[in-house]
Amino acid sequence: MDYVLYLVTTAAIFGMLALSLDILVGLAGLMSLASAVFFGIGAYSTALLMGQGFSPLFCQIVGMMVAAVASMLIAFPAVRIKGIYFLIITIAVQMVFTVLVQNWREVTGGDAGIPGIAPYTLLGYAFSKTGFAIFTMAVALLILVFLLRLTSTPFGTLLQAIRDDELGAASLGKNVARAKLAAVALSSAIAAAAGSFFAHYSGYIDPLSFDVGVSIFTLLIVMFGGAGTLYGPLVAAVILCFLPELLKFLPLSATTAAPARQLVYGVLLVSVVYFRPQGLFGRTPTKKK
Amino acid sequence: MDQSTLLINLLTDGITTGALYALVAIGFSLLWWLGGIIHLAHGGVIIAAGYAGYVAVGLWGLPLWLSLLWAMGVAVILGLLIQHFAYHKMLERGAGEMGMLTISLGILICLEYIVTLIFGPEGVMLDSFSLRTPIFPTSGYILDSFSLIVVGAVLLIFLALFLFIKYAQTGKQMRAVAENTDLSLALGISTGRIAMVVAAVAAALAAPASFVYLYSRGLEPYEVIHIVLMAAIVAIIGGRGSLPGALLAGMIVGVAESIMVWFFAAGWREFMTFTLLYVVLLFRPWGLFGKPR
Repeated sequence: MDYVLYLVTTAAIFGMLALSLDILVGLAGLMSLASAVFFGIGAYSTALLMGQGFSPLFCQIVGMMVAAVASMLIAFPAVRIKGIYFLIITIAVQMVFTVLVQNWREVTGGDAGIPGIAPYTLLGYAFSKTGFAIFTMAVALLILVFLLRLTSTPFGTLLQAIRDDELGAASLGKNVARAKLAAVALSSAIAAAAGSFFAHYSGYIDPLSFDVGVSIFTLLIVMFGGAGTLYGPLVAAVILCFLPELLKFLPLSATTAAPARQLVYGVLLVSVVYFRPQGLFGRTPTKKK
Repeated sequence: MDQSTLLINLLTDGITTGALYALVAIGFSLLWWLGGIIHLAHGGVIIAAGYAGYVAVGLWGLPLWLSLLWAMGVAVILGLLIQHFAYHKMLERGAGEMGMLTISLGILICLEYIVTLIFGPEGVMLDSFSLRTPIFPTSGYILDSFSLIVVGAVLLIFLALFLFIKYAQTGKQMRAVAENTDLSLALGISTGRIAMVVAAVAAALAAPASFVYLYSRGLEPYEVIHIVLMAAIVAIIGGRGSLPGALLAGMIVGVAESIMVWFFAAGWREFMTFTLLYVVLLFRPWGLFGKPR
């Protein structure tokens, strides 16, 4: 039972992370491979501030703000131009972040990481294992509802207009770069919130939890569930977090299991965009031309 | 070591690395130039070619030229398969930018972990023996024949590529397709065939690049994303589709890296590359030699 609770909580946390990425990929049409960076900023903010004795909610909000500001600074030159620049700068940031947390030992603990992060409490209330699983799932669902409502607000429709026709949106007098920056900030704040839950839940963080593999996994979740559907990525997070458990039945040695799992993810990524580009839950696209 | 020797050594090291980056970047950048395809899988092709070369030299004991040819064959076949079955088919189905990026990334990951599963995650390296002994042993300069061979070969490859694109019939057609695909098709240029030729050339360039990696810092499957990231950054700094741009940008990044590694720790070189990319995107997003669009 504990193990199922672990999987549910993990799925909820990765669900939030996938939702945060879907704002960029699905709504704004920006491909990012830096999810793990803002996930990591949330986690490290929590770990460091908890060490100073602040409350979990405070740490989480500070982490979200740091992530939002950092992401806007990073994305600033790339949102003004269309094309690969945004993706490339996110990959570069991902590499820099991993190097930073590995080498800035005085603060991040380097490869050894930061142990002993206390469990999450909400205004003094401590969760049981079941309680925390339900709580994180509820937060993920709340974020989902919030984002679904957001899609029909002027901001949400502007993002989708930019995704479909950037020049058109700009020629209607919309500030495209500012809208993209806002999307980036919102996305990374949600990713940081997820990272904060992650830090509390695992009690220990190290650079490996926030490397490019995590970013790729998040992208896989979004693509698998259907970019732009929002609920698709959340369901996909549950499916893909439970999937590795199935792989345990395959006769693989310990050294080949990890790469084999990554290979399965890679093959899934290729198969999804190849055979069902709209993802599991996306609508069949109407033919353009 | 006095100041001038140090400076010359940093330049030597940086230019050698820069030549390698330029070579990788132009392989990445050709498909970007031709049809706007972001060929992230190029990193995977380099790893595959490198391991093919390692098997040929290290296990089968083949001579270097034959191994290089064999690695090139593997790379070209892989490159053509990717171009035809992934990029071409995806475009035929009307896939957007997201789809193209995702499939390229997916292929990159697949290649990385197929290599890891077969050869293990440790990485491979070949010994360049006497090539790495300094030419002027008593002077303190680190210049060796390896650096000369690498820089010379890269310059030759760039010159050949430049002449091919400028004067050969196929090269002219490439420029036409890069300028305007629809118009080229209407004028009777087989754009599909041109795309295959460019994919083959890009893949073929992966083989010499992978050999430089093998004989200098070694190849690890884990490095694929880093390799293709450096290629993309150099290609962006140089300007889309620009050969001299890629060459110059490669040198700038290489020299800046070696200076950074000398004065700080090796781990911090990523910051330098990132800063360069950031500054270029801020002030000159079309790159040093590109055209603003």
